[in-house]
Amino acid sequence: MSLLLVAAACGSGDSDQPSDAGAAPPAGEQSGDGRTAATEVSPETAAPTGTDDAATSEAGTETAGGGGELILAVEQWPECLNPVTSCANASWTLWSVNTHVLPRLMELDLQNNYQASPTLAEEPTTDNGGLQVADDGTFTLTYRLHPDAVWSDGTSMTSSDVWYTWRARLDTDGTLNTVGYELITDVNTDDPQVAVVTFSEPYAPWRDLFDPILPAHHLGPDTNIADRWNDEISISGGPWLQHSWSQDQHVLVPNELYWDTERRPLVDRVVMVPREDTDSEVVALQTGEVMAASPQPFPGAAERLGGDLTFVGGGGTFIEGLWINQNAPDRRFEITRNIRQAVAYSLDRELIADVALGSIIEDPQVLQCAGWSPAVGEWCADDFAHYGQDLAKVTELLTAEGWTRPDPDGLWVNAEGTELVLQWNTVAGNKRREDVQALVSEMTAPFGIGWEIINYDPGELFQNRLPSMNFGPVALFANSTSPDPTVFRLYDIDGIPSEANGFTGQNFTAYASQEASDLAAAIDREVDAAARLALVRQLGEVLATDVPWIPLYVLPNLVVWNSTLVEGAGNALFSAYGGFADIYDWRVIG
Amino acid sequence: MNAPGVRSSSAATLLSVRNLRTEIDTENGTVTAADGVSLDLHGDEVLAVVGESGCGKTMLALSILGLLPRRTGRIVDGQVLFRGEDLTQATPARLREIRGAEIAMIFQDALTGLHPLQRVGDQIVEMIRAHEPARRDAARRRAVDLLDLVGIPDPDRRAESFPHELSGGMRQRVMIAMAVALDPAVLIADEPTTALDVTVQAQVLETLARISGDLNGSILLITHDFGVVAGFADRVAVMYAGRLVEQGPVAEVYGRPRHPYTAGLLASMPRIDDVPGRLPRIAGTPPNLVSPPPGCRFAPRCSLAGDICREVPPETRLWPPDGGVTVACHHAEQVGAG
Amino acid sequence: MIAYALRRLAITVPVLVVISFGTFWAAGQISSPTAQLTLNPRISPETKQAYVELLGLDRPLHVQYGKWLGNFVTGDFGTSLVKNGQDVWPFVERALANTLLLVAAAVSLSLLIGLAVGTISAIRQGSLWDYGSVTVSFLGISIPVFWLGLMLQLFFGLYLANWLGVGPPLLPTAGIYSPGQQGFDLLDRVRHLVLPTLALSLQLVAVYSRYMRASMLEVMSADYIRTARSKGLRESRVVVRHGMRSALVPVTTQVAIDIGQLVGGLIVTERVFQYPGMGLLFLDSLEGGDYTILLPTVMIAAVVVFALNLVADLLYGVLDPRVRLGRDRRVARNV
Repeated sequence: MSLLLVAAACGSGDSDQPSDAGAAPPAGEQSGDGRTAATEVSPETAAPTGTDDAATSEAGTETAGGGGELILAVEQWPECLNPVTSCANASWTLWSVNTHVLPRLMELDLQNNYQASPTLAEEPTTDNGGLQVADDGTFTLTYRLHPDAVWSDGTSMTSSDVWYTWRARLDTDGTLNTVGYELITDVNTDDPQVAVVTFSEPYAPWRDLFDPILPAHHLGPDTNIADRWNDEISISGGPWLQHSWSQDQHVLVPNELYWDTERRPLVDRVVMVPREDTDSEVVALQTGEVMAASPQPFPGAAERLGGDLTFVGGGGTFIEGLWINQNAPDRRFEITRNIRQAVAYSLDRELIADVALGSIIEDPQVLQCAGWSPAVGEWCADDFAHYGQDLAKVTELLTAEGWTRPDPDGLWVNAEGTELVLQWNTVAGNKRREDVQALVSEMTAPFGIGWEIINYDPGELFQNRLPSMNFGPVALFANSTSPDPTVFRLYDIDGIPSEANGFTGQNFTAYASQEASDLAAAIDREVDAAARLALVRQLGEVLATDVPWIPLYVLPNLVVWNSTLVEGAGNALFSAYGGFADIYDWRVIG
Repeated sequence: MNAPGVRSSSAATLLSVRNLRTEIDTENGTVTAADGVSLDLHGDEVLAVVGESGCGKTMLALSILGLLPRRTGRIVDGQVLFRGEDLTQATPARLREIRGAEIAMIFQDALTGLHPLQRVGDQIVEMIRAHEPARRDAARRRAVDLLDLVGIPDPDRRAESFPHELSGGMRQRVMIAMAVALDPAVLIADEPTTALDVTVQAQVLETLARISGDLNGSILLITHDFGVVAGFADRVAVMYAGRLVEQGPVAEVYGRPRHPYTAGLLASMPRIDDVPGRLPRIAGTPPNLVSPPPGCRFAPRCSLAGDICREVPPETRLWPPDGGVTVACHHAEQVGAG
Repeated sequence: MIAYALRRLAITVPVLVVISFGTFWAAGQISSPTAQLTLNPRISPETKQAYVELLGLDRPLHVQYGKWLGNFVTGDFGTSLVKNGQDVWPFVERALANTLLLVAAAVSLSLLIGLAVGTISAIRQGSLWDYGSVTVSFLGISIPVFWLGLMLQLFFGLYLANWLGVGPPLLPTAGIYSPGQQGFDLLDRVRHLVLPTLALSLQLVAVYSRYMRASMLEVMSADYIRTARSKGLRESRVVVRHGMRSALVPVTTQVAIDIGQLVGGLIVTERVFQYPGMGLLFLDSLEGGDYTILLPTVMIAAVVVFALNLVADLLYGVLDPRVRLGRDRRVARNV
């Protein structure tokens, strides 16, 4: 599935963040839904739950209850809608159109746990024979389609659609994501109700695949769909049908043939309009011109979203931290593990999280793992919890490598007389990050660690410096994680961008650990959930020891709605499909 | 020229300035540009006001029509009586009726005085139509006739010209044509030839003289050029530092100046029979009008000045008492006599 | 005059080429259509490379530029890099129409108000009105458009409606049509034009009124105004037909020249009010790394600005018969 691709386009403007996916083995302590608690800022938070029940009770009937027109603000207007080409790289393409219109095989529930979507009769498991690893290493998935699953033109969904989706992924010019699909050797369509997908080797993140699935009868027979669905998707296999699409607005209406009655929309129409400027977006919410939005976290959100506006903040898949580039051209000394640990021991990360996010959500949580979001799955453990301010540890670590502190209040100095000062980059003009820089500069002074702060425009930092490894040694930015815990590219020992390999690869911390690299690779091959979680936990501990980067906090998702106009919003806070994932359960009031 | 019969050709006083005081704000302070000026313009005569630049003669002219600079100039005392009507008290509407139609004005520099973006014919048409309900084409024909009258060749085509397309002399003729368009009773000509070449000056003056002869109007000629006065005016009023120092028929004043300043001016005037050489000049410079000397304003430059001159402003009086010349000098009797 | 115009054009062409290349180069430096792919972990380097080749981004810069320029001058705007091969022109055309409408509305409104305010200030120099309008125009020039836009949104969208106790906002705060509106609706369209026009106009009114005030002050002390009064003309005619007629000459040309300075405010205004014009298209294509849209957007803006400068010069000649040779006379900038 393409959730992983959501990452890159999320941060426009000053909060740009490069994308990256995480993967990790299970770390036991968290309960099943042990994600970061949503921070309820408004007193009216009881409403959504009530509506949820109402919606469920109504679901058995055929009538779409409530009616009315729901108006939503979209922060980034999709350039085009094709779910296979680069159009799909923008999160808002998925969040505002594809997710609502196109069906998928496996899907994430609102808490980002994988489950069978309404398209499937059941999830393929080892127990039901749907998931098999043969002795020769081939891996077979058997998808049984739901007998009622039907496209909006009345055509049944069949295994041919699964086959077609596979081919379109590979055959389309400019296809965005072929990972996983390349391992598929065959999709058997003998039984229209059963798609048997064979992989050449075990592929653990298989649940990501086939989101969306494409209508073979509608798009085929050509499997190159590069020029299709740029500005309209005229067929639906989801709760909503695309009524119209322009640069001004995008209108969804209920898909009358959607077979899952629990997701029959309650409103007659959804109108999405672009509001790319956060301030204007807030005004539009306040005036009631738009009823709900899912803005990027912005400073002062808690203060500004008062009155009739209710907002919830929490979850989030963007993890922010101090990314360390061990190969930084501007480093004055080797950025050894001891130095990385020492820096981690000089930080009060609780305070940092408070300063960074305190004006957005209450009680922001510190991120304690290096590659996963606590809001997604069970992958994120407390690996980094033991790092707190500890002068004794800092002294021990640095003294061991020959650093001295001639002035007990000054900076550490190494044998060559070089002071322990690290160049630190982030996005210029990003208030949150600059606040963190100011705080940390003060915070580490008593520990003898200094900073040279040089900030860049987002374009310069992420498009020029980051890909060419010309940053840091330290940089502060956010990276994305995915529902599936893959982190292989981030820690692949052969994927360190360098001049020698033409700066390909995405291991931009230049973290060269064979052990971590092997564990990350194993995570992507282990199809057994429990075994996979164990591998993630193992990698998590290795990362906490080696500190390739220092995790700080998760950027929370926000969903804001005008509580005099909308009921039922705010439950998709954690959803990788965006805060509007469950608009079929929203209703218009007043 | 429309209705000559209506016009009085008597020698009765047409325009009478009585004890006029005009103040102008300058960067250096408030200047009394005209200080108790009185003069009379009779029907069918040319009265020249003569004096050095800065003596206040232009402000005197502007005061008559209420055309002083709006923010900086004002009449503080005195009257301007036109046919007995005090123009300083006239309503703006009444003033507009008189301007152009009864009292018209010719300005010094026609290049800046004519609107640069308006065709000269239109400027004359505008003058006519401001006062008479004339149709545009009729007014236009009159404008062409007027241009012809002031000696502009090919007037039909010239009417279509912009001011910058005409020569300096032509422009001044346009000014004259515009000023006489409505056959005004009084024509105020403020240095009408100063901006022109000497040869052109003569032609323009000749035109002005011819027109004034043709028409029944009186002319108030403002000039610094005694030569112009001699050939053109019936009477002359000599102005110095905001005050009139001598006033009378040209022949009498020229023949026997009563005021030392007049005498000095006349002495510095080039004559045909002059031997080449330096002309005598009046020593010193005119006083600062922000704070003029308390007594006679010419006293600092006057060879006859005594204590009384430096302390008491001289009265204006007839001298000789039975003559037609008034003078403001404590020592008028001695001027020319010595 | 014609020769002069042609000479000006001849100078303009190389300037436009330089601008276009500079834009082309800068677009490649600060944004890239593949940048978002680079950091996407699920996209293999091979996929990215295939994508780069598909878009022709691996060719040398001057080759890409030459290809683009060749198409552009022959009127072929090509297809979008980022919008999956959709034709560029419809996007640009729509944005251009919207922006021209907004600019025309703002400039007309600003001229109407600015010229009147400036004229009254000049003829009542030193009055309370004059000091008031000078102060207001100083504020108008100092207030950032961005902030003004937000204040207008809040005031007309929120506070005024709340204060009057009416439900929906008095004026829509963004977009060009109400959400859900299908097809053309003149009233709705005009209502959506009001706030962006106001936001763009305040600064213009301030600038225009100061130009007009300075120009009128100069003109009204001219000799020919005194001549006009001496002719017995009504004061209104003196001010309008003689004073404003002259004062408008430098102001008009300055207004045409100033159109270029509108660009910044326009971008901000369109962003704040989500007004789908050239400014918003520029921002979107910049953020999306789509030089295929960025370039025509910038080029059209540049051509319009240059054209208006030329028009301004020629206009001076038309408005002022004294300047038929295209000599450059503009109102002093520090008015």
